[in-house]
Amino acid sequence: MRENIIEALQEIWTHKMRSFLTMLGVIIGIASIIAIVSTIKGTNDQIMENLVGKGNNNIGISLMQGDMEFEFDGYSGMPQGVALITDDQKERIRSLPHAEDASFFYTRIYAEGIRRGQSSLEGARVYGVDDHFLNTYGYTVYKGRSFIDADRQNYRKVVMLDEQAAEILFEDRNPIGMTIEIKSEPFVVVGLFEAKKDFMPEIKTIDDYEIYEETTFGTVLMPDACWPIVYNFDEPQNAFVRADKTENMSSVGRKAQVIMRESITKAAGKHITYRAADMTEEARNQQQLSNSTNSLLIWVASIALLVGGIGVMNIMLVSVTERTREIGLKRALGAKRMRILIQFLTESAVLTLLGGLFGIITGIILAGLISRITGIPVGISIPAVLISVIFSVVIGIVFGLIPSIKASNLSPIEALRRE
Amino acid sequence: MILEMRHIYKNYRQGEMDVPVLKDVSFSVDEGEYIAITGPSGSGKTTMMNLIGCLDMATKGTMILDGEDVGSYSDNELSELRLHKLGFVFQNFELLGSMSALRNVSLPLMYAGVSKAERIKRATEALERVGLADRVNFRPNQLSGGQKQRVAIARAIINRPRILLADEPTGALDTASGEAVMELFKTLNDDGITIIMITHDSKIASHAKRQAKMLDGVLKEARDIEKDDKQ
Repeated sequence: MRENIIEALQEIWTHKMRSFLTMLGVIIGIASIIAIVSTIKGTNDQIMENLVGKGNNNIGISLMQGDMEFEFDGYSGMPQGVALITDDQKERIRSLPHAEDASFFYTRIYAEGIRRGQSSLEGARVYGVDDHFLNTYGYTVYKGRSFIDADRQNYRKVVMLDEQAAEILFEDRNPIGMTIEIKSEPFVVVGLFEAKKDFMPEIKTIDDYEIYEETTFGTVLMPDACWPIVYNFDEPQNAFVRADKTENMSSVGRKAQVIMRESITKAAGKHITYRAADMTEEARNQQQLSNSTNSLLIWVASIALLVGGIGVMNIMLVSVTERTREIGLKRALGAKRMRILIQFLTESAVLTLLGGLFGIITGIILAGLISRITGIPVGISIPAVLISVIFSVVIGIVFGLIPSIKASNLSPIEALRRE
Repeated sequence: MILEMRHIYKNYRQGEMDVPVLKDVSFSVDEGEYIAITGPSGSGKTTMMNLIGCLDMATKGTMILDGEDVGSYSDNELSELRLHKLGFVFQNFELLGSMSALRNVSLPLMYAGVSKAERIKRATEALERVGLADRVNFRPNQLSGGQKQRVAIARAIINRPRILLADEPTGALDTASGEAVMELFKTLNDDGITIIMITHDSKIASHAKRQAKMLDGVLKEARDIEKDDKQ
């Protein structure tokens, strides 16, 4: 076999120009497939990154009423059939495989009655948080301090504000140590928090937009122990779970959702349940869309490859005719038909393999250029490269078969007689 | 007896017609003989060579090569016979231009499945035997006609064949190189190799120990022709 490959390489090298032109079809076919697949992968990676957030693999699990987040009116506590999430459930969620941390919190979406003197914060989101909240969400305190155990033990009425809330309520003044009112209860501002530098939400869907818009109205955090002072005792908690990797988000979210649903009995009715907001699922749907448009392009590229294969067959047939005397001589020297067949098959497969390798290089360069021009990021897909290598060899064997059979069926005397 | 042909007929189809080329040829060769088959072109001597060389099959008749009746042999079995029992020398040398002399000579060894080290060793020895020890790595286009033919002879004897078949071995050579090739044939024959040579040149044929003449598909031994002439 090694001998055959060396001989094939020599033969290809002897006819450099012709071999290259023959390869061209395969090069173009493989190159366009690699370029397309790389662009698809790049687009998909970007969708995943945009929707899911790079390095911030959070899944929110909220109590839903139908398709909407459960809204509390002023007085009601737990909805019927929904029990509190127990410490046991919380611990089980935190110790799920691939779960890094989880926070459980009370929340109001469009909180009213947050004010300081004449300024009021309309439409802000209020959270009653545990001490996992900042870590899970990826927030840091940039001024003042975070909540401490003593705050919870003593039911201290303290809050942290984000930048928006601080700006609306205090404008340029330093809010630390100042008092604000939440539903007429005084709270002391102890700290200001912001998203960590590496967390930049990107907006790709309307849902994202709404979530982002909400946060622009300001966010107020208070220790969960204080929640009943302003709101109700025994409210259901929502959760935020951080997975270790993006690909584990869905599974972690689903498992956490199952554990939280233990708190819901039939009495709650069908439309009240905990649901994980699965961004990876959403990302996948979008990816599917980009895949299906691009699979069309792959078919077009496959036609280029087919044409390339036919070119290889054509040149191999010419080569067999040209080398009839060589074949006759080898047969006279004692080479069996099989050996002649394998010799030509090897030559054709080596030719297309080289074409495939050049095609992969060209395709990667091409993908780089596309990325440069359109701004779509490029992800080189290793499986696509491997499949291309195998595919180009298969093309060589399939399209080399007819010429090789023709060569091996030549009668030695006919072959030696021919000029 | 190393070769025995009994009542061999060979027809070629030409359109609707069967053209007889060999008509009832009987011919036998003993081990160590050096025979020249002469005849004008179209007399059927190349067909004769193809049959002896197992490149073609007779239409009718029996041929026994080194004790094997080749009449029913398959293509693969005939290839084996050519590989191990026959060596070919052609008028136009038929060397592969892309390979060195050494690789040309070792080609049959590759087909016989001999290891690379052994191939190089034996091919070098064969080239030494034909006097080309200093041309081992030369390509055919770097060699003279006489040298090319000697490379071809080295290739023909590399697998230690029972019969060396030569088809106009001096046809493309000048007189001096032709004489040198004849000299080499004599040495090889003295070493015990059976040689069957086909030529139209009676001067070249005279180097052989025995001669036969082909005429219109009929083979006659030279000694019989002399007898006929006397009568």
